Formats: sequence, structure tokens, C-alpha cells
Amino acid sequence: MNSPPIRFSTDILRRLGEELNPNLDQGILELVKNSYDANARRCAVRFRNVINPGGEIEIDDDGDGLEYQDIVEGWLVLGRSRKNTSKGTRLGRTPAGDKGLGRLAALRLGKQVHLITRPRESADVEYLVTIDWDRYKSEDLVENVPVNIDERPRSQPDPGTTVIIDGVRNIIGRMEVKRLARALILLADPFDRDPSAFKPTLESPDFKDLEQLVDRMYFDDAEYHLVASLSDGRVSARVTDWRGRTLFEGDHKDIAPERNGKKYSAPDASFDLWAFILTRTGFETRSTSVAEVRSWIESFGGVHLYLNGLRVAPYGNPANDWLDMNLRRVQNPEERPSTNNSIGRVSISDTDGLLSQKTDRSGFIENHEFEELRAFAQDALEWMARRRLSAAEARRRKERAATPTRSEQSRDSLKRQIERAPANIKNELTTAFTNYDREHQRETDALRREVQLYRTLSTAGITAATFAHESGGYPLKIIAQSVTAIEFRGMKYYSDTYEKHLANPVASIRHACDSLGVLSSATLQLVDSDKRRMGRIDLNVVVRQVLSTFSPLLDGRDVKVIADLSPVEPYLRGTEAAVESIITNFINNSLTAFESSPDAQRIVKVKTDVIGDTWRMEFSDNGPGISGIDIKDVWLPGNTTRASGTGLGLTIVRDAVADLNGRVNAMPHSELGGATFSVEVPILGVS
Amino acid sequence: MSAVADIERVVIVDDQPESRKSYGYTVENADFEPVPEEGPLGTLEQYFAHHRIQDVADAALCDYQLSARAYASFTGAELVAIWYKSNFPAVLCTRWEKTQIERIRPLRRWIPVLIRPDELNVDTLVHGLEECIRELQGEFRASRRPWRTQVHFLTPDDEQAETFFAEIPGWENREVIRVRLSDLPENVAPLVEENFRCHAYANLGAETTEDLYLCSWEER
Repeated sequence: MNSPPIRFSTDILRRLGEELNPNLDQGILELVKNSYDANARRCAVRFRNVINPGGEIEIDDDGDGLEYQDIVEGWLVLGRSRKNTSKGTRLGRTPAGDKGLGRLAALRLGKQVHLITRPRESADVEYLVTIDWDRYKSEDLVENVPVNIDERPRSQPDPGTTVIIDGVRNIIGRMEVKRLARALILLADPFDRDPSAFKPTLESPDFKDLEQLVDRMYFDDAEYHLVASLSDGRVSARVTDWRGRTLFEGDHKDIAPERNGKKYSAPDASFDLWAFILTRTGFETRSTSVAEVRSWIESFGGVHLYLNGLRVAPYGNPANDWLDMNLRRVQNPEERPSTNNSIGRVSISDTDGLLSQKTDRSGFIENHEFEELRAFAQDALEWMARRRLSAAEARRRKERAATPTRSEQSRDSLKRQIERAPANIKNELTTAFTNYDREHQRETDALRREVQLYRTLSTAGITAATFAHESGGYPLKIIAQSVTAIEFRGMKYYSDTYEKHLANPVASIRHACDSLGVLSSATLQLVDSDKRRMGRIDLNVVVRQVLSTFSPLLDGRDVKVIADLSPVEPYLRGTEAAVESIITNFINNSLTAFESSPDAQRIVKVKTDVIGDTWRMEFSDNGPGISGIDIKDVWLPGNTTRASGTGLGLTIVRDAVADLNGRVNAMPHSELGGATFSVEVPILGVS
Repeated sequence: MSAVADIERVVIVDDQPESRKSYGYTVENADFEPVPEEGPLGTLEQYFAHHRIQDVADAALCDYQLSARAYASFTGAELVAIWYKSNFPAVLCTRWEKTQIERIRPLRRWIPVLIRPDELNVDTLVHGLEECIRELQGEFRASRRPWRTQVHFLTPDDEQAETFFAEIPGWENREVIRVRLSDLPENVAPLVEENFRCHAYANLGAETTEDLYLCSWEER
């Protein structure tokens, strides 16, 4: 009986080539990496007539070329890497470690591919290999199509390899050329200016423009330069200013405190990040313009990743934010760089092969080592953000302390200038300045009062929470236990008269005790730290929760609540605290208004609707409405018609709505008779 | 015969004298003799060095908060868990605040019954003590039975240092809980990071996070 081997259908070439490696630039980059592995210093990619179908692509290098055996055992074998990453090449390079599939994708871009190679060791020989892909269409199995390797005398003396892909099937547009140009420039770490380094080029005008752009190197215009290194699992970092002077320095303990000294299980790496402040004022005194630097960052920004000297895509590509820099900046924008205002690289030296690239060349397999590498870079960024934030805080404190003096100096200087003014305008200037000064002072005083009020209210909130905790823990517990004991013993010992004489007062105490318990737990719920976390907020759910929390208080004050909530459940991204503070302050406002209302039937109505992508809440009551204050002033801090009021409730509402990117409106009287407030906030969706 | 038939004296532990007295009313009403623990109790070591609880009582009613006054430097949860391990039945009274529940969870395996003070009455007390005794005799309710399960650590809690959010894929509720690294064994805590998974024992029959416990952590 025979022992037949597995054979491959010719369809496999299409599946492994085109379907696994869909991008032109990725395929060509694989051929360029072959040149790198062959110790080439120069590698030129040429496009000929590719704006029409049937064009030609040439990749030409000055590397070591291929011997006959290299062609048979390597170039023509798909899926097996002959590259040993732990063994360097003749020039000490670490091979890029391709499995040959990316190369297949590139070679199949056209109808035919020609390999012309002049091996370094066999000085007179040149080999020519031609693959005609059309021949595979008429055959069932790959092995049925023989490939000829022709040997001939050299056409030129120097070793090297030329790959020509002709009959290119698709048109190669300007965007693809530009993407390839960028990828080629970034491939071999253009941030290091080593003249002997591998330098791939693309013969195209776009390439020249980009090459000039990358050569400009605006690193000196960076505001901060983060230099972090990972050695034997331990991280160290420093941040320097544009002159290279160290601003902050940290070791493993400072940068990764939450690891408790635990090492990163990732290969040795270094991380450089140049962060820019792209404002016109920041560039006023420099020779470069903010537009130039912005354009440079647009083309090359992001954090690129280099493995053993060669770039690994897609890290650092446009829209690839593998370190979540933009996300973290959105969550906490202060002192954090984004991919739009920084450029960087992570260089890894991995001779042990801890990191493996995916077969489709779309980055690394996200194994533990890769996650640890990412954590190293992210921790370094977080550390820089913490240090910068702390420096900014110190600066602000200093500025706050210096501000009165500075403003007083400016004020005195202006007064002196007015004194020197010609007599005919001096009086007018003096009057105008006095008016301005008075208004300015009033504004400053108002702000100071607002800050003081916020501080006072914060202290009141903290104290209320402490009292709520204490009252729930002791007096309420004792009352509840004692009432239960009275009830139990009353029924046991005075069964015939308990119902008549004691049941009602005991029930009243229990009811009051329950109400107090709810008020105390509601106060504690308001300060729950989870409510300040950003996340998905189901708006109607929060409305129901707040109404439920307040129900003992509202019941106790004879307030009827009408909740007319939308049938769908809208949600947005924000904090529960923001939504809760809006509703809570409206309720408090209504309760205060009812105190001056003679109406026995007190009504609060909450109506919510979803209109397109907006959630609208209307909060109204049948109190006396808004009077004695201009409607537009109700949002101003400190404005209140109540003697003991803080005047901050509606200011907090205004600020909370603004935090949710919404708007708020007040009407002095509505259908119920009292004030109506409407809030509109954009939502993410409904469920 | 009721599981509490052998109970005569119930020790009451609370840092507030008036609370001890009011808990005593319920203990008396349940026909047990209240034995108020007057304190101060000091540290756990000091307390157990000088007290043999079995000599003064047959069961205990213990409040969670013991350290607000100069009464004890430990929580009622720690005390009840140690008693459980020495086969002594005790119910714990707690207000079910989230932070208290999170502190109790690492010890919840050894705390069979939690009762809110406002729900403590003769029935809940007797029922609670019965549950404790049954569990000490090896009869677990379905909601208390331990199962080996995977724990998936999600992200660190930005608001609480050394704390991670975690989920238990095998638990029907799937609610996310907080786990403090200090509550984990020394060999597990340093390994925890985002997306870290390991095994532990949990009562997968628990219906709420308040009843859930995690114990016997494994490195992987």
C-alpha cells in the first residue's frame, strides 16, 4: 500500500498570499525586510506605470544575494522561516523572522515575478528565477508547476538581488504610495542618524517630500522628552526639557508603585517620547512654526515600535493608539500627551524570541510578554503625567500666591500711566478705570465667595456623612432594638391591652426610626465614591433612584411625585454624581419653594423624553414659582431669595449639566404653577 | 429538637454600652441569658490570650463596628471568623454598607449569618444561630456551599489603592466586586494585574454580592 503525502491545491497560494496579507505596503515591506536580512545597506523600491493595470514594481538591493541552495531551500519554500533570531547576520543584524507568507503576497501582486540574484560568495554567477502565476491556474496542485532556476554569467559585478513583479493587477494610487513611503521611512528607525544604517527608498516624488520632512527632526522643539528603559525587568525613566536638562527622574519603585517591586516579564526595551505643546504662543520665539511641527507630527506622530532595529506595524500608524494615550488624555487631559502632539518609539531587543509577530503581520501576538511591554510603556507615561501634574500644581499654588501682588503691580502701573496722560483725556480715563476697577473687584469678590461657599458645603457634606454614619450605627440601632423589645414584651405580658394602649405609639416610633434610617443611608449614598466614576449612566434609572431615596422625606412633607419617564431607557457616558446632583438640587429647590406655598396638595412632576439623540428632563412643581429674582440670575452663585439659602444649588445644576455637554433652562411658572427647569443632554443611545 | 436547644448564654459584643443593653433585650426575649462583654478587648491576640469564650457563653451576638471607641482594635467580622474556626457559633450584626460588606467578604466563608440591626428580633436571632450551628456540623445551605472557580481580575480601582475589580465567570450573578490585594495570600497578591486569572473557592450559590465569599486562593 502507498503512503501518499499531503499535497496542496494551487488555491492555497491565493489564500495564504492575498487573503492573509491584504495590504500592498505590508507585502512590499516584507521584501524590503528580506534585503535587510541579506545585509543590504541600500534597497530601492521602484514603481513603473502603476497608475494603470499591468504596471511593474522593482525591489533592488545591494545585499549578499542568494546562492542556488538559498533559493531552493529558502526563497521557494513558503511558511518556513530559515531565519534564526538568536543568530545575527554577517553585519550583526537580527533577522526579521518572516515566515515567507508576506513575501508571497507581494510576489503575487503581478502576473509574473522575476528574481535576479548575484550571490556574494560565488563571484561570477547570477541566478534567474521566473514564476508565472497564470500557470498555477491550469493546475490542481502546487507541486505540478516546476520552477526553473537559470544560471548565467553576471550582468554586473556587485552582489545583490532584484525582484521584479510585472503585470501588476491593481492600480496603485497616490494614497497607497504615500502609505508605503511612510512605512519605508519609518521601517529602519529614522530617529537615529547612522549613515551606515539600512536605508530603504522609494523612487517617488511623495517619498522625497516625506523624506525631507522626516529629516527635519523637530525634536528640539519638544516641551518634554521622556526617556524610559527596561532592563532585566526593571524600569527607570527621566523626563528632560528641550535643553536636555533633567526635570524628573524615577526608578522602578516610583514608576510602577502598584507592582510592589515585581519585575516586568518583557524583553529589554527603551522608550522615547517627545511631547509638544502645539500653541502659537509657545512657538513665537522659535525659528520653526507650529504649523511645520504639526504637519511633521501628523505624518510621523504616534509611538512606533522597533524590534531588533526594524519597525513593526501597525504600532504608531495613524489611528493606532496601542498605549491608549488618547483615551487616557480624554479621561484626564491635564499634562498628558496624545498621539496628535507627540512622537515616540519603543525599541526592543529580543534575541530570545519572546515576542512573536502574527502571521498576517498586523503586529505581535498579544501574549503575556507583549502585555508586559505595553504595561512598561504605559506606566512610564503615567509616571510622567503624575510628575507633570504635581509640578503644575506647585506652579499653580505659587501663581495663586503671587497673583494679588502681580495684579496690584499692574494696577499701580496703569494708574501711573493715567496720571501722565494729557489733561484733556485724563479725567475720562480716570473715571473709566475707576468703574472698571470697581466691577473687577466685585467679580473677584463674587468668585472668592463662591469658592468659600463650595468649601463650606463640602465640609457640611463630609460632616453630614459622618453624622449619618454615627446615627445609623448607634442611636438608630438602639431605638430599633428597644422598640422591638417593647413590642415583643408588650404582646407577651399585656396581650389583652397591648393593641389598645401600646401598638400605635410603638408603630409610630418604628415608622420614625425607619424614616431616619433612610435619611441617614441616603446621605451616605450621596457620597459613595463609585458615583464619581466615569461610565455608562442609565438616566431614567438614576431619576428613579433619587426619587426613591427622597421618598420618605417627600412623603413626610406631603409631596406627591408624578414621574412620567420615557418608555425607552436612555444612557450616556458620565458620572452618576453629576446626574444625581441635578435632580437632587431640583428636589431641594422645590421643597424650599413649598415652604412658602399655601397649597395643601404639593406636586412635583418629573417628565423625561428622548428626542433624537437628546435626553430631555422637565422638572416642575406647583410651588409659588420664581419671583423676586431675574430669571437669568438664578444660575449665579450666591443668588438666593431665602435667608438661609446658599444660592449654590442651581449653580451646581448648571455646572453639572455643562459637564454632560448639555444645557439647562428655567421658566418662572409652568402648567403646574410653580417653576419649571428643563435639562437637555446628548445621549449615546437607548436600551 | 432545635439546634439551639443547648444554648443558654449568649455573649454580646458591641463597643457601645447602650447597644449591648439593647441587643440584650432581644437575647432575653429569645429566652437566652445575655452576657455583655464589657471590654476593653484590646487586640485579637490579647483578647484570646485572656478569654476562653466557651467558659462564659454558648453562642455570641457580635456587632461589626467595635473600634470606634476604645473597646477593641479589630472588627466583629474578624472575631466571629475566629470563633467559627474554633467551632463557636456567632451571628454578626452589620448595617450592610458597601464598604463594610467588602471588608467582610474575605472572612465571609467563616461568617455564616449577617443580620442588620434593624432586622434583629427573636426569630432572626434564633434562626441565625441555628444556621451557624448547622454549618459548624457540616450542613451547608446551598447558598453557602464552596465551589472551586475561576476569578478574573479586571482593572485596578482608581479610587482605592491596592484594589482591583474582579468578576467570577462561573457565578450566575456576574456582578463585579472589589478585591483588595491585602486580602489575598502572599503568593497570589504580587501576581495580580489587569486580566489576571486564578482560582479560588466561592459560594456560587450566593444570590447577592453581600452573601458571596472567596477563599482558598490558588496561584493559577
